[in-house]
Amino acid sequence: MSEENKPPGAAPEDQPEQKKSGAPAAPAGGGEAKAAQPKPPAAKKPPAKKLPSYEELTDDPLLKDLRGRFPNGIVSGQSFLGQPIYTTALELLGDVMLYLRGSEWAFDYLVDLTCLDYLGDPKRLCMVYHLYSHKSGRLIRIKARAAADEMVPSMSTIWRTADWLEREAFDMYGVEFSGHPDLRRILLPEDWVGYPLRKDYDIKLQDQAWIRKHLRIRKVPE
Amino acid sequence: MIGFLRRILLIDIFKGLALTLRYTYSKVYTEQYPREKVKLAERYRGAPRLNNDPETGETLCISCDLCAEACPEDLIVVSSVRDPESRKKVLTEYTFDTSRCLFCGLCQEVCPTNAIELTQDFELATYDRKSMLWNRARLEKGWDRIEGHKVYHK
Amino acid sequence: MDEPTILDAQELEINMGPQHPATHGVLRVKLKLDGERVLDADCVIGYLHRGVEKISENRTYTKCLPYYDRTDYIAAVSNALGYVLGVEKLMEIEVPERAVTVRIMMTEFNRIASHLLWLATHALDIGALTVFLYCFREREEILKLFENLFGARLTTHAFRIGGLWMDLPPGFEEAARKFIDEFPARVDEYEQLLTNNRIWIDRTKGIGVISGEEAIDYGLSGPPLRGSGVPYDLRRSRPYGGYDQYEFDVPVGLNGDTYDRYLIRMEEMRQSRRIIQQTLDRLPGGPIRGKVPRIIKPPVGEYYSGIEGPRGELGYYIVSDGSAFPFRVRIRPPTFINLQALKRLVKGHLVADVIAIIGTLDVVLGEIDR
Ligand code: SF4
Ligand code: SF4
Repeated sequence: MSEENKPPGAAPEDQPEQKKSGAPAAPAGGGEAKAAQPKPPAAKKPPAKKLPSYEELTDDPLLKDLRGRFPNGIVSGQSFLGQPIYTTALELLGDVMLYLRGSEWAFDYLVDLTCLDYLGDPKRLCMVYHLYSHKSGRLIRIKARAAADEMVPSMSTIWRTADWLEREAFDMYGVEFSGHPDLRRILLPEDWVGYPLRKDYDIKLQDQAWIRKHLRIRKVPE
Repeated sequence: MIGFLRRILLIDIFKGLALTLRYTYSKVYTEQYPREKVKLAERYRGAPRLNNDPETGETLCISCDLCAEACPEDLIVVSSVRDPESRKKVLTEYTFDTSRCLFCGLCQEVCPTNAIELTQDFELATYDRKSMLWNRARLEKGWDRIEGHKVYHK
Repeated sequence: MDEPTILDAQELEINMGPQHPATHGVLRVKLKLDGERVLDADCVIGYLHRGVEKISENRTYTKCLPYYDRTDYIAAVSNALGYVLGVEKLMEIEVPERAVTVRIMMTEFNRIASHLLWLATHALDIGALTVFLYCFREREEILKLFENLFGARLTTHAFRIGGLWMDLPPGFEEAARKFIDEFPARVDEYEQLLTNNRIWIDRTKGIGVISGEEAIDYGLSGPPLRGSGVPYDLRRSRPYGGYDQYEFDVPVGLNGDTYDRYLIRMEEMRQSRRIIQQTLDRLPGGPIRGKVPRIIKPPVGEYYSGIEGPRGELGYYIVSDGSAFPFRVRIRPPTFINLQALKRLVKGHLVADVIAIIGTLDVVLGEIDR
């Protein structure tokens, strides 16, 4: 925890090195891309109080192992508030995950699978996986950036949990998963148009054609 | 063996039945709601009320708009005019849309003068959606003191 | 569809729900049947989708909270706890000891209330009406405590970022003590009605069996996972919010069937009572709310705050972009993931067992659909 005393500027500094290939793991990069709406320095203004920030993982055995095995696969290893984050390249995501599950690391429990949308970034979607190992009690986060039209490898063959979670990510963000057995919408109606959790989908936006067809409401009241 | 006997003689089922029999003659737990009004906790967040100063009868609201700011559903509309002499804001109208209210209490939490308050009244059902929009008069009087409203409990 | 089955009859596809009372909400299960036997099941969900995650992105951190009461409406207090812990971590807010203790106490009360509701409806589905009435009597007592402290019974808006809304009302501690003193006898009563009851055993033993490994593979958490013998309870495995200072046991099952999951929940109620007893004994004085800035603006960052809800691992993955609105609040819904195993659990069982299995998974559709 003592490492957190670093100045909060530390994280954004090392972002440019990563460039597009793997994209920044920190939302800071996305925040800037997001039409520069929340001024990035806003978080740095009060220098008196030290704020938590992204730390580079230095001697993390898992990161070393992954770096050794997938030299091109691991983009960065960071931690935030003590939770480690590993960013991988999309092409090797499937292999990295298979390794994490099968090797002695034994991340047998996929806690959560979700997606973030950094609108305006060429690789706007960021897949986020939380993995837990019942053996070692470790919780880690894996991230991978993808463009909106890129296929993301499906994890449903590695963890069965991923089946519905990927359907949900498809439903809400329009992520296409390659190798998913049954990629349909799950929460929204099947013939709904649009991906509501994307940042360019306004909260009041609705699929008017769907509403007219199924609910027979002409005009949705403002 | 004992397990078998228990099973044959339905001991466990009879034990359960004895328990239910005992409860048949015990105290009644049910509340006779429409006939007796339930006593709710003091903090209960129900129908809203806009409080008046008990002495002067004037509204406590200073039109600061904090409640409208705090509301997650943006359902409070505070209209006011500025008194040219005292430079104070004077409340003209206050609307509260109970149909969208979450009864979260954030509005009463921020109110500096305790003007808006969520009371223990909970019978908010109406026959149309329009009457769910409460104006200042109704907020000040309270729901059950409005004419034509049927009170179910005496 | 055309393949002849055992009796050379056609497979039958029927809908269970969405307006079926035993599906605990609006869950629709498309069953493929061979006579009474279930060959396959497909869940159709989303009838209650309100877009809570989208709403969160358009509200400030404080205003998000009341919406989470409405995801898992049976366990609103736990929902609030997971979220406020996450935001407090991001903001590095210190919560006073009294608030921490009250939070744990109320979350455990909520766990009892939730398990009582589960037991009531589960027993009702299987045909035991009496238990239903008894459970609701006790649950009412807990809801009254909620009402006195939080000001609402179900959608409690229980905690605030940094602490509590108000301190305990007068008479609260006595009422809570009275409840926990009486409670063990009540649990014994339910057990008297069910645990050795032949009908109950026949309806639940060997129904919906899942092994520990498979349960992990399906990502199960909460009682369904512990029923299969995996001692994973976040209060122990990754303690949060001060739980590491309390003594309690984590019950695990042996067979991974509906009966074991029933026993586990019964035991969990007793353990929750134990925790409440400890909170009441140590309840410190002092302030109930820490120092919180007027506008909550966490620094750029992200945090996954997982807690052990009554139904399993409830997680909030909060991503902040430094503004007053969360960039993303992902709710990791325990029952959404547990329900996924339904397909696997019901295979080969009778239609009547489907009801028992839906009951044992303890689904809450408000949370599944969000
Ligand atoms: S109770 Fe909540 S939702 Fe209702 S008006 Fe007040 S702040 Fe808004
Ligand atoms: S916060 Fe209170 S005083 Fe301010 S406008 Fe609202 S009701 Fe009036």
